[in-house]
Amino acid sequence: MAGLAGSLERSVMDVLWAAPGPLRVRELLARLNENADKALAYNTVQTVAERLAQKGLLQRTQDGLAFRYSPTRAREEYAVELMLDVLTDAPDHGAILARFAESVPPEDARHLLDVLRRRASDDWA
Amino acid sequence: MIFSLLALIASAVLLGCLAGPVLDRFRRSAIAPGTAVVCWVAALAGTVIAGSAVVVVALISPPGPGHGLLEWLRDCLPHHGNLAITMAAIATLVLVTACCLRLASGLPRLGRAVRHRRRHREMLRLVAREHGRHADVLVLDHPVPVAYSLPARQRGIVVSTGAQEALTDAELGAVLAHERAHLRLRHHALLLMLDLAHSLLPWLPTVRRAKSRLPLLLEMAADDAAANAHGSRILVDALCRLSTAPGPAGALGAGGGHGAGALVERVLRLETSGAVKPRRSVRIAACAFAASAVTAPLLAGAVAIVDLSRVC
Repeated sequence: MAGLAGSLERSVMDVLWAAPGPLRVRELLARLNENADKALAYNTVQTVAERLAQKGLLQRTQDGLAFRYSPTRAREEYAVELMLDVLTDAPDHGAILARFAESVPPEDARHLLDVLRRRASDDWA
Repeated sequence: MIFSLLALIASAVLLGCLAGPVLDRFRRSAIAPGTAVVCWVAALAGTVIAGSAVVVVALISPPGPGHGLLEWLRDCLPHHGNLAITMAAIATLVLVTACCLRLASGLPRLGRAVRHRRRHREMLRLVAREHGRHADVLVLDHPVPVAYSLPARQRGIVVSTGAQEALTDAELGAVLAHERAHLRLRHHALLLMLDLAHSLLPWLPTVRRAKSRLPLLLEMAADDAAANAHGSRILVDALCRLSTAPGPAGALGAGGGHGAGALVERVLRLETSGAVKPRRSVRIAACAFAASAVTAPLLAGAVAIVDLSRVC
């Protein structure tokens, strides 16, 4: 977990998650260098983006001669997957979920219930 | 020769079949969880050592082809009849196949667990934030209140935003102390070894019972460390608001099987543990058991193997 803040992959993902749409490497580079002490080189950013695409974290779309990069999944989806990872390994995950369900405010609970109901009817169908 | 063999078989049977049920008998008040963990780990290690020593002895006992390795050095093959050599060869083949099958089912499991853990850590690195005040803590944006730990050189503890909201500062401190105890005492490594032993020898009573008992004992040992530092009242309050698990080790399958009862047992123990203190003699006996559980099969195995290498 060393150098969490300094990880270039993380910075690239952060920029792309914050961006309204797919970015070219040049746009990505401009946003990364906006508030950096040391400007990054074009090649560095392109290599990192390419590596992330190989790992399946980014998808690229052809745009003229260049590529545009965008995250394959939203940041929240990763958080959910990490959470599910933990909960399936915890021996008492049923109890955790029950305590969570009791703790959410009423309007969130209603929302949760709607989602669950939709999912239940999907499962039946 | 015959004595060392008998001692080896006896230690394998005692550790593999009897140690677990006996350890399981001890009530939680009689023995501190830390001491119990040591006993269980020693019993597991002894079982695995005795089991592998029995296999090795069976492979190199005359007139099996494995003994041929020794005989090669000493050149004494003609003593044994043809029929005996054939039978021993068949037995060796069966034994080697069985061992290979067990290893083939156990080792990929270990690899999967390690890969799973690495992937989890990579995702965390992309998504989680650093905690402002605690250098070893990562924060994950999610409303479900969870805290867990991962073996990592830095920032091994993960706390969800839901947990941060649910806990007071003092309670968070107790939870962090609990997770730090998991990391300091290498509980993740123990769980991984437990899983490996279980996939190799799942039918032995000691291994089976360790699988169902040890995870809870590890939680209790970490509870003790946290309660010593922050008081059991605060820890109990914190535990009731969230669950603290030693992270996705890939070792604890979903069928861990003790469900919500585990938390109840931990809380009950913390609330009553001031009253009953484990006796010193129990601790000494436990340490003696742990030491002999590992050394006895090691010694018996070594002596039996050396004896066999002298026989023709």
